[in-house]
Amino acid sequence: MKGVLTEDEKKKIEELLANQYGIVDGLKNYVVIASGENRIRITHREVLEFSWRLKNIANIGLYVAKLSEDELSLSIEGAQLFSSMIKKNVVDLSLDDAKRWMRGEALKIDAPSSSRYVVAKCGDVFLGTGRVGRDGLVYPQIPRNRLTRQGTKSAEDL
Amino acid sequence: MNEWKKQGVISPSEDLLRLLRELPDMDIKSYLDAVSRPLPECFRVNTLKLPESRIIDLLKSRGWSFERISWAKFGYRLLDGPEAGIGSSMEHMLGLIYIQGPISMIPAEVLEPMPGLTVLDLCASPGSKSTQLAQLMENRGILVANDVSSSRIKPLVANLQRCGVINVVVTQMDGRLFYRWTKEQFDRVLVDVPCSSLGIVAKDWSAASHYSEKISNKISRLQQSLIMSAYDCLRPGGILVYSTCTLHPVENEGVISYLLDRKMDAKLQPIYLDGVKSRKTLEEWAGIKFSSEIKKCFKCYPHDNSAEGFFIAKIKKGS
Repeated sequence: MKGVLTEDEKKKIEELLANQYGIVDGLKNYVVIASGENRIRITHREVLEFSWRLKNIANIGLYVAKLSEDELSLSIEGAQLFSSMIKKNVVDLSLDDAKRWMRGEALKIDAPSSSRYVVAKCGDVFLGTGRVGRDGLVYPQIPRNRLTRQGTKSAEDL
Repeated sequence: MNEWKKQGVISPSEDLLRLLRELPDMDIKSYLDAVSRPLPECFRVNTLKLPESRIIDLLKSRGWSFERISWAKFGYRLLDGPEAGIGSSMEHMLGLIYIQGPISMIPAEVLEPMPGLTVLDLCASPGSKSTQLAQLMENRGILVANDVSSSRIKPLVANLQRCGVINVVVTQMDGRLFYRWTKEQFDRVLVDVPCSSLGIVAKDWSAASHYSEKISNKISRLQQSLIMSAYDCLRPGGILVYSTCTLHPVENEGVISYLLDRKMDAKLQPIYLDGVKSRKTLEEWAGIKFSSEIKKCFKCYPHDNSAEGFFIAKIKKGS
């Protein structure tokens, strides 16, 4: 898949969302775009149509999920966006475990795993997806530049 | 001024000292005092992720205390908190907050970017104002975030992602040429131009030590081209906001004057803000008299609010 998904391709992504996370109609109001590294992005129809008159487009919409061997891992933003619709393969972490998660540490969790991925949350704050390892640990899929252990200087600017 | 150099606190260039002496409303000691201190730590609560009250409760429960910034929706000034700092916090990394200077929050507010509008941020990287615009638009309508530099696109994209912005197209174009493809296509245009940065010396002291008059003169020509392009992108009846974080009149009043002289339907609009100290714009500089309309622009120096120095103009295109 590449570029704006056809209705059939979009339906396939919707089925994966439903099967893995119980998300129904999550993509209903969006156009879905497949970009590099099998990333699934979403935006509104009017944004896409406006983009046709622009040159040198670097990016469009929000990255919500990544397709890997017919399974979807949700980005931090995808998990937060679909938070109210996620019904399965989700684990609720304590604040201490959420901090460890954001440092990229693998956690021992009793993951209700019917998938290779689970969504983590701490209350109503969603933390993205972790991969369930054969060793029983869950490995957070946090982009390196968003790990708190780096003590990364903020993107503060003017 | 030699005292400042001796202390090693800050070493303004000769050209900057000359400029400071020539600015009729400048108190040089207050300016140098202000830019020698760190900027206040401020942030926006990102309501694209969670409701404001929920994020506030979360931050308080984690030990931070803060107060609201009166002129910016969702803006807060940090008072106290854990030693590690809010810039490396989980809340920051998750995009629940965005760290941004308090005066830097003004241009997007002044632009009035309502949900459903088509909005352009012409010089967008690293994305403070673009993410703020998307938030004020509630992720509805169309936001185009442009920057000319490939190296600056990466942080722009990362920040838009972290803040959960859906309604955005990121382009990498020379802003001076942007109007060629999108003439009169936007309801709102923000042009936060590259500048000599003399209002944010507290953040980057090299702006003061390396400053020369040539920088302002050269960059003002770029600013003139950018504001003309931005204006041409605007629909009749639309609003343009021009902003800089510098003090030099050729980059501020001079650029607005340049636009007003060439676009007869451009009308400056007054800027109303609550609780921020501002000062009068200049009526003339280097023998050039500016339009009396320019007094509608907003200007503040770093020592006015113990924050950044900024110049902001709000312009409406006649319909």
